[in-house]
Amino acid sequence: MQSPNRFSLRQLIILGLLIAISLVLNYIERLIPLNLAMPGIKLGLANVVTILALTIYKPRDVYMLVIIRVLLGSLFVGSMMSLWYSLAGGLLSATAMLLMNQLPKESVSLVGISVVGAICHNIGQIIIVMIITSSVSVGISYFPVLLVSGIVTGIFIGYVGKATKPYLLRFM
Amino acid sequence: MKKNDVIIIIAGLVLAVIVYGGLQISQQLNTADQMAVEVYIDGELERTIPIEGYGVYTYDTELGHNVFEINEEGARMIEADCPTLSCTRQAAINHVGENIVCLPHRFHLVVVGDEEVEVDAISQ
Repeated sequence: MQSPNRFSLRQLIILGLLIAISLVLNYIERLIPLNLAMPGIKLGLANVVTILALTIYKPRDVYMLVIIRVLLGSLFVGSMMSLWYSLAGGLLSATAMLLMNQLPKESVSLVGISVVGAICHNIGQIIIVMIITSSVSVGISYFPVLLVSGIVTGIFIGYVGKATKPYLLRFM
Repeated sequence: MKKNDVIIIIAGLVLAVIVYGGLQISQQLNTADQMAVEVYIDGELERTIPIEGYGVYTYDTELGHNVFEINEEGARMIEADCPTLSCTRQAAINHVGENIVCLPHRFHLVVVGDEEVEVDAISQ
């Protein structure tokens, strides 16, 4: 640690803003009707925030952000059950993206990181499905659809993150 | 997008196709003359109903209310009192291995083939 304070005031403010933005994105996402026959598919707009945090904060601060946004998010909208999905998905996704972020910058872009994050988010949810139904085969039957939806939403979210990042860096 | 991004995306799609294909093949291999719908609550087998057992079945547990129907198309969830209702939007299930899950109520239905039905008959 370089300074006695973990964060600069600026970093602290941006972290708070990112959490607030993710909560608003959570809410906006619920307004977009995605009435697909397959449960579990969503855009994952709030993941933009995790991706942005990844580029400016240390791993433990990224985990803190994910945990706070999941807890607050399911406090405002959602249930006890959605808390477990979001937590499993969010932590697995953050871990995967932090690892991907260690790779040299020229080998993989935010889009690739975002896709891996979205896929891992969905894998986290499948694990919770397996635990609740105590059936591995029920969980696996969701895997192909959630894998493809993770790729599609991951590409979208990755590009959103890429477009937003320069504006965020301007404040750091 | 960089080259590795494209590789990640293609690898993911290929994996999805392989798993989907595998599931389809195992479904085709498992076509049974006798099929049954298994009702699970909280991961425990609650009841096994033959797929010809047409009717409307209601389950009320402390976690919630679920109604499913079995007709010539298969089994379909028709009512639940959860906020998302994703289970009621799912199509009818009529192949071995297909399932409908109502996660908030820890309630799920699985179609099984005659092998498993026999085991269940013996255990009764």
